[in-house]
Amino acid sequence: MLPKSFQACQRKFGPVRYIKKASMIRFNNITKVYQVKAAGHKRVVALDGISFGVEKGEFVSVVGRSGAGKTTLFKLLLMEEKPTGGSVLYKNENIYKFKPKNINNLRRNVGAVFQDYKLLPNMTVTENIAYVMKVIGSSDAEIRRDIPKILEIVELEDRAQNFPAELSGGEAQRAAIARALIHRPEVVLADEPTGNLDPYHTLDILKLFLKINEMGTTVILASHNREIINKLKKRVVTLDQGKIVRDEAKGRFSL
Amino acid sequence: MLTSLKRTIGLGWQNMVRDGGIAVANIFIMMIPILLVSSIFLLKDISRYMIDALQAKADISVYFNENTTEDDILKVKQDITSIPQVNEVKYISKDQALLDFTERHKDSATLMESLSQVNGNPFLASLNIKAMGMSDYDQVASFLGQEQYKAMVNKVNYSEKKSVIEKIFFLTAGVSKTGLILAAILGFVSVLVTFNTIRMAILNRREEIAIQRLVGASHWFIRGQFFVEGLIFGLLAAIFCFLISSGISWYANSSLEALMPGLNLWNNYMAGIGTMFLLQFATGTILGTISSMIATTRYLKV
Ligand SMILES: Nc1ncnc2c1ncn2[C@@H]1O[C@H](COP(=O)(O)OP(=O)(O)OP(=O)(O)O)[C@@H](O)[C@H]1O
Ligand SMILES: [Mg+2]
Repeated sequence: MLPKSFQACQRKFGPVRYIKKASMIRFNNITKVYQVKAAGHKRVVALDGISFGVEKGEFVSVVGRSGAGKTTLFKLLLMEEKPTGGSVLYKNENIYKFKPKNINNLRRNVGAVFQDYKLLPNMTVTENIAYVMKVIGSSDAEIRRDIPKILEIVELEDRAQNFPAELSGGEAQRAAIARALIHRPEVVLADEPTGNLDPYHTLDILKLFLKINEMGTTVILASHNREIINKLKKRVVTLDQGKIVRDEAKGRFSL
Repeated sequence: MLTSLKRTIGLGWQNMVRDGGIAVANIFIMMIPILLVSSIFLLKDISRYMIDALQAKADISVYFNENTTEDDILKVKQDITSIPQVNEVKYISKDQALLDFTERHKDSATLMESLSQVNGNPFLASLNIKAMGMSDYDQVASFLGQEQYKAMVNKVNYSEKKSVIEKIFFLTAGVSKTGLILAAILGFVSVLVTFNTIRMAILNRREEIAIQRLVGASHWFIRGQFFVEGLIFGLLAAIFCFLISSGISWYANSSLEALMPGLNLWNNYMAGIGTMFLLQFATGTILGTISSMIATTRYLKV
């Protein structure tokens, strides 16, 4: 069914091709059911018929109680998990039909801050960040030039040569943020990126996300931190038990 | 392309260094088959020397009956000299034989006494023949067996050395063959061990590999690191083996030369040093590559 306004257009101007606006990312009726083997293949419904799109340059917060399915949603986008049903479109293409090369490209275009950081344990902070740059093929000169800058932004200059095990929780989180942003990805996926930060750093990181968003980067933030969501005054998608219960522009955190 | 190769090598090297203990153990195990192959290579030199030395000493002596004239003998000598496989023919007259004997045994009273009891010269005139090579003596012997010489020839003394040479030859061949089989078995073992090291590395780093995938690293970027690791094991093992074999050749040189004069192991080693290095290098590379190939194909699923 075409939109009303478009039908009006057609009456006025004759046949016009309708181009559906392409979202940057689109979740189409996504369902994810985990099977817990140790519990006799008990089924856990993490996501239950989720549909929403994220436009280029948008800043979207996905909120919900612990266990609502936020991380699962991110995992599906990064193809860490396969959906039980539905599809995920990236620039109008079904990512689950991607060839390995396209999968790699998708992952390079999406900078992710993982809830559990996922820093490479055998590499220092600098090496961790450099790894992503090496993967996308940055030159050595770029690596030498950019890493000190990002470390300064997240205030980790003093921990550049530390291994992840030698970092505090907040420092590791900031290292993970630096790694996610270093190569200026089109989309930033940040899963509870301030969960381990003190209020001072939390504010700093939020400002950083807002700044890169202003520069055109699409940001998707998952959080259950009421305060920061309300401060953002951006679109909020609220999940509850795997379903979208609210999707509001300039939304507030309410459960 | 070049930077990505450089990076793969760098990351593989880094992984290896940060797993130092396992790497050292692995390199040692890879050295065993490489050293075996190298020692077979060195053994060939020693045995060739021994065979050459014995061949130089081999000869055939033909003794002529009392009544054969010196002219007849010299004519036979001429006949034999004309055989192309013959290197050298020396005529030893009755008198010369007696002289040689007394010279050699002048200190032995009993021998001299028994000689004096025999009236006249008991020795026979002879021709001493040296052929070009070991296999040529049969031909010389059959030449002397001809009908025309039957009347003159008292006996043909085929020196026993042929069997000694054959023994050395077979021994060397046997040792080389056993060595090669052993090297193959140990090579197989070292492939298994390296394979296992890389398998453990892959399993240990399963999470890491998953993370590398999540940030978009390609299959070959990740696989290359493990590949490089196996290859570095092989190359380092080869380099250590090269140092060891060079050291041994240098160190054992003087004692071996005392045992077998004229054999200069060090010079031989230096002459074949390029081949030796290539041999070790190739063995190391092959061992390393095979093991990492198997391990990554099996355990590094996309
Ligand atoms: N690998 C898994 N196997 C089985 N169940 C899982 C798995 N991962 C997640 N779940 C379940 O799926 C549900 C959603 O989990 P998810 O991690 O998406 O929640 P979340 O919204 O990110 O929570 P939090 O705010 O605590 O991070 C939870 O009930 C969780 O127990
Ligand atoms: Mg989560």
